[in-house]
Amino acid sequence: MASRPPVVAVLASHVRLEEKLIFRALAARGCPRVHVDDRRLAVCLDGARPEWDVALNRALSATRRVEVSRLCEAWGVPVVNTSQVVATCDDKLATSLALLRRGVPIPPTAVALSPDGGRQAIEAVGYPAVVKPINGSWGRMLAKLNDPDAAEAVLEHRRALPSPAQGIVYAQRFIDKPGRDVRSVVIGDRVVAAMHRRSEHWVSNTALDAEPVPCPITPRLEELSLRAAAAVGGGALAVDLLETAGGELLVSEVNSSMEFHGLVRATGADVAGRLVAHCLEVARSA
Amino acid sequence: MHIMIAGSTPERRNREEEGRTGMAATCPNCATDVAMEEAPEVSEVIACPDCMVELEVISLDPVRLGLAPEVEEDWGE
Repeated sequence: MASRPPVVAVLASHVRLEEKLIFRALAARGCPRVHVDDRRLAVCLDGARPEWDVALNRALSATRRVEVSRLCEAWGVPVVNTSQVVATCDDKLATSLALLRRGVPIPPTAVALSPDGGRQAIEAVGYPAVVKPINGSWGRMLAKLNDPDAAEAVLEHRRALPSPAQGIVYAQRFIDKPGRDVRSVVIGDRVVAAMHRRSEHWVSNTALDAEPVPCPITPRLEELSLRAAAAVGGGALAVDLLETAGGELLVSEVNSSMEFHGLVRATGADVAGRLVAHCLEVARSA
Repeated sequence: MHIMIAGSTPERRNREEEGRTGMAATCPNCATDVAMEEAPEVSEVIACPDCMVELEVISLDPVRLGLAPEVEEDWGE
């Protein structure tokens, strides 16, 4: 790479607190940055490579997010995260299969490819069960099913939804966690911070007002987080984990375009700085 | 370079731009003047202090605000 500071393209739909922190971290390292709104991106496929040394994919839409990484890879621009990692993380079934392949513990999980088989999938994991959209985020459209009547109602609604993806029934055994879950952030080969998300509700998500509080990075949490990140392909990732009543940790999902304002507020960790350092390392080693 | 950014160009802000503060723009929903203490960023989402509608910064010079888009099904982490 040339001696000039690397150009980091931040492909972001919205400039949230996270993106502002990233911009500040870039400025602190003297790096010029290009902010590209992925909603406005238009590309000639036989065109020249943009003058970016590395790209950070912060697209808000899962549909656009994977294409952003594919385009960067086609140009030969190293991107955080790769399209393979984004595609795996944005599909809960693909994530679960990747985790299982690497022996990472997950809640008992079953899937039916249409609502017709949904009842069997739900009963395979047992009641209470949680049904999640295969490609959803922010705790949207999760359903906790305590009995067959609830299952029938949710499956009937799923049949009525226009999106074929919503017809896939991804069911997990409900984990009666202690009023909180765990989110750890893995950047490269390190766990840089972790938090609990406390909530009275059975869904613990900061998008649904769960309270972020610091979480110690125990050896087990560190080990599982690193294994989960490696299982989906590695990069800059947020790993969500559930604690069972017996104290076991289970990985519920891995996020490829993490939001971290709650974690920064709770822990003071310099996630943006680590993210930028990782991007520069990726650019250097490309 | 064969990258086309509809409606804007890739943004490369310099130190002078980073230092801009004390800006205001009009809420397209209720016509309130929305003051911004920190220098805004294109694509930043802010709330109108009067009508509480979510607004998106669509340009910086001058600062213009549009209605922020509704959350779509595939948005998220």
